[in-house]
Amino acid sequence: MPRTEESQVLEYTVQQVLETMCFSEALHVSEPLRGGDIVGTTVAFTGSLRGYLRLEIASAAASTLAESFLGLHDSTSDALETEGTVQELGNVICGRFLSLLHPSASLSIDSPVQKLAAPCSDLAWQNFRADCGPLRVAVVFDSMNATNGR
Amino acid sequence: MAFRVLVVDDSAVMRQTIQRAIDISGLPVQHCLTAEHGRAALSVLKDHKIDLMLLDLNMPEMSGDDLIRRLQRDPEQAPIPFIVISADATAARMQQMLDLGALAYIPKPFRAETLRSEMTRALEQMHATN
Repeated sequence: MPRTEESQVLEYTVQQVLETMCFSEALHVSEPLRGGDIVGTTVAFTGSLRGYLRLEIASAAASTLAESFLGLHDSTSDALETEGTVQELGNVICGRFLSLLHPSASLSIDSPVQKLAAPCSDLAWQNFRADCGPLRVAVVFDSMNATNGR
Repeated sequence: MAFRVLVVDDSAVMRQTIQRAIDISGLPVQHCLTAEHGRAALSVLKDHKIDLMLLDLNMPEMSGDDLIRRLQRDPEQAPIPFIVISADATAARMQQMLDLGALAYIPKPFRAETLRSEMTRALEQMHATN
């Protein structure tokens, strides 16, 4: 099945954000993130586009990304720093993705939260393997017409 | 001349990262204060003279654009130069903030070098007008 423009822009965005913020390379893969502890965040957006982005990262990978983002060369990130980094990654991926896909949109992006807004299994995940471990991202648009912001 | 900078962002890790980028930038920054949203920034501004703000937009309590409008309405408040650093890179939002007087708009994600060059440009601009 051919990939949608939305899916390709999300892949580009995830790779660009991880590379710029955490110096980490991420490959788009088909195999899903399985088992183990994860650190996740949900970022809701409103305005001419409404919906949310969900980001989930394997715990060990999330810690490594946090240490890289915060420049912790001689220490490890604590739980708050790891959660905060995952939340900021979610915020930046969400804003960047929507800005690239719908540059004329008018947006308000909420502060990231940990809780999930819908059951995980219902989401159309895109899976990635970063050099530090696996992660997955899904974007859900509330509106039936996600091109309103174009 | 040394400058005092206020970083306003609701993400603690982003405030920490921006402070670190400023620390290693070599720019003449004397103090780098932080606030977690616009309302907290107003409290900082009551007690400290700030030369440049680095401002996120989408924040709880008071957004970055609301903070700027509030400061601009206050006749006793001298204008404070500001640079926007936001995940929202839509054309309308960028234009809105430039119209409000932003010296620069840095979309997230950004590299430390970008922050350094935009701050250098802003400080030179401020120095030239003073």
